[in-house]
Amino acid sequence: MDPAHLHLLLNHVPTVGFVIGLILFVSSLIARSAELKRASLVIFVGIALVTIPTYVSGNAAQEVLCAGGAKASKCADAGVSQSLIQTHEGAALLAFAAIVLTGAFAWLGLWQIRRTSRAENWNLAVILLLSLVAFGLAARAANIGGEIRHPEIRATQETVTPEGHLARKVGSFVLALPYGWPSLETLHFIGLTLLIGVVLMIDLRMLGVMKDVAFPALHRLLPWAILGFGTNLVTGMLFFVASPEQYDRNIAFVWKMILVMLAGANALYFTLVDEAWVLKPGDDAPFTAKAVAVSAIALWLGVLYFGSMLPFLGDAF
Amino acid sequence: MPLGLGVLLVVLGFTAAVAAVGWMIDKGADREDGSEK
Repeated sequence: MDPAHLHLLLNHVPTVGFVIGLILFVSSLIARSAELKRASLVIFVGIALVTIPTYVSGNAAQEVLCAGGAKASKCADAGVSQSLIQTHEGAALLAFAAIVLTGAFAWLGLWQIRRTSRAENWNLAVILLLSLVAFGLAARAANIGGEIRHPEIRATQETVTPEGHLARKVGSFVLALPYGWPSLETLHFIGLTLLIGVVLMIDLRMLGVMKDVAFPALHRLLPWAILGFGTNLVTGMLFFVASPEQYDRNIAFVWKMILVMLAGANALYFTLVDEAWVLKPGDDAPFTAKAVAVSAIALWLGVLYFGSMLPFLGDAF
Repeated sequence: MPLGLGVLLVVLGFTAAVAAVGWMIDKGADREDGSEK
């Protein structure tokens, strides 16, 4: 499947998904329903994960649309405006940031619910506010994206936004800063060690190592793993925005993104399902927990492998 | 600013911010567990 197809397939998911998540979330607040709340938070986390490939496939779609290049003349030959594409890209970057932040706070809410059966009120207020902002930004980015190929919804003047070609500005800034790229690389590895360290501790406990540790003690470390994941998402996105042509059609990058999504979804098991939570010191983990642990280790090793192979299997750097 | 110093400052600053957020979340877990009075 061409990455342009992938972008067309995924690009409605953040907007439509956030409508569903928001309706469920607001309903849960009105009805005081814990189950509805958990469901809405899972939707926010899921949409945040899907938004990663939605965003990165956009640059690949541009390259396909503009016949193998991102130059203005190539885009004009294809009957589209490069400037409008970059306005869409800038709006999408803002929406991406808001959606991922909503997903992060929603995950924190699920983690709090697992520990105490309820999310803290301040967090619910933050999620409500962020999800409203994220929905607005996603809808705006989607609308500008639609204008690229649908003249019937375009105004006479080409759409301009306050942030303009934000992704291109951020990308140029990262490349122009002498210590930008090496700082991001260092932070990407700090995030990686934080994430993999916690993931391995939890997954190895499931497989029978450190059996004298109760699961809730390890569960308390999960936010550090998510902070590592967040660090890598921020630094990784800055790499991508600075030099999208290195990644967007790179087979190693495509696989890395697929595995990141699966590994992220995999981590939900330890916050949602009861069978790991009730493990006391000395308890053997159930088969499902062991299977999730093995798959998590395999998925994260895959992420490491394809991340390292970006220049070798693909053409980055 | 020399390259090495610039990188060090950015990395230390970002890592400190991440550590502060992690510490605050962990303190929240203390309150939830009732172990901090």
